[in-house]
Amino acid sequence: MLKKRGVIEFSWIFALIVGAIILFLAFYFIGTKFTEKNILKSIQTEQSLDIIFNPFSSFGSLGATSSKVILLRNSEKINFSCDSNGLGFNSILVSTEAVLKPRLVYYKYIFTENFSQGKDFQIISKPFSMPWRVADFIYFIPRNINYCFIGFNDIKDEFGDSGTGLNISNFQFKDSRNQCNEPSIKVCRSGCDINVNNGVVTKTSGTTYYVDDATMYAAIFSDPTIYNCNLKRLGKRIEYQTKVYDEKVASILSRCSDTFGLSSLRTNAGALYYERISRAIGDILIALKASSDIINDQNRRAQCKLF
Amino acid sequence: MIKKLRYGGQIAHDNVVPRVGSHARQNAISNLPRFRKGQLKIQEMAFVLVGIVVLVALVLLFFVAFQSMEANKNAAYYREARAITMLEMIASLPELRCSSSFSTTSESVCLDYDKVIAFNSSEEVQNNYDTLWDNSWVSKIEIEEVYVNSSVRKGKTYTIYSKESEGNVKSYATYAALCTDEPSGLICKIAKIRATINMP
Repeated sequence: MLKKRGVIEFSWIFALIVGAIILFLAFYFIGTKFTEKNILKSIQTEQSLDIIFNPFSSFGSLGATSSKVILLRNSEKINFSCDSNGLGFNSILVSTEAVLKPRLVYYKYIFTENFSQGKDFQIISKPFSMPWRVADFIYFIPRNINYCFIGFNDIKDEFGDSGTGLNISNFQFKDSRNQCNEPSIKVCRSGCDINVNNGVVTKTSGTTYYVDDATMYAAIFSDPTIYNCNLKRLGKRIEYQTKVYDEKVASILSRCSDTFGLSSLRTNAGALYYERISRAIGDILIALKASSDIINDQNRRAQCKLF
Repeated sequence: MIKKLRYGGQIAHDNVVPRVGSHARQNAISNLPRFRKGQLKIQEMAFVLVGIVVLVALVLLFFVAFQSMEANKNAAYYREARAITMLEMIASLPELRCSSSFSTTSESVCLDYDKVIAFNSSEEVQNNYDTLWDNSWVSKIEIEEVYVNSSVRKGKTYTIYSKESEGNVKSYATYAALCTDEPSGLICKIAKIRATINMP
């Protein structure tokens, strides 16, 4: 290797440089091939799930119930959880992602079961108003799970294959339980897998309470823990939005003499955020709806509208 | 007297002094006692192996640095794409958008002037939404009134969110209608939504 003492031969220098280049290229191609495959898979999954991952993405028309089908390249296991601290977040863990780290989704309210597996997912977005449009609910349903609604004509109008319906393919609408195609989760007033009656949704995983269509669908399609957690998050969001509307009321007073009773809405929204027991959450939800109806009425009669 | 000379890290006798050139070296090696020749070869091999390991480590280090540079570039691109999507959606956030009362049909995509004022005048309102902006790498959101002849009249600027930014930032802007619902009807101005994003 040494020509004279301490002098390196040219052939060695050349071999080192060429060796380094060959090694680098080998690492580069092997590395990129491996990472590319994983990244591509992650990106494809991520792009498909952008609707739920990205707090600024939306689909369908503004202020209307919309639906979309997400098609993934492979069957994925997706775990959902919820954190109600402050405005909170939904946590989503996709099993095939290159980095197994849950995604924290802020400002979105995803109603689903704790665990979903499948290649195709049905996503339905529905605005939630209390009394103004607070947020859009997202119902995340694997398409391999069929729901059979028995005796719900209003749901049929919204999600069925009628002219105005969203034509959700894994939803069936029947008059009796015997007519449901198997396997399916049966939803009816009583005696089914999911019972929906008079503001209460009962299923094996627990009992939840609703006040309008948006919360009723949320209670049907989601796990009770996720449902209650998202409601608590919404309580905080309504409380914060009330502060914005408080300031707006002050602006309105400079042009009109309309008044709005926002304080009871704020109190109930705050209470919803702090409540832990499902039954009590239901009671507060009813009180929140009552104060929301009062403001809605005041707004309808106002010369300068608040919302 | 036996003189000792160093050769290739080995001690050789002076009767086998190596000379320059491969032929001379061959001679020198062949003249070495058998066990010393073997030792020399093992040491040479060990030296080459150490050299290869160091080389591989250096190349790997360089490769990792190169990859992280690529990752940074991708992250910047991702943030840029996210910022552009976000700009389109800011006007439709329930906290800022015009309510259904502004339009006879459905909710219109415009900014509610009174809500913008609410954010601008209250730091508490601004800070309530810091998780949304922080998690989108936003350091500032401003709404600026725009006039057709901007040299004559400068529009007011309203702050929706502001946080001290560290390091590299980039601003993106889009236009939206800024409307007030007056008893006489809807009054709208053109506004620019400007978002300042922290870049990696």
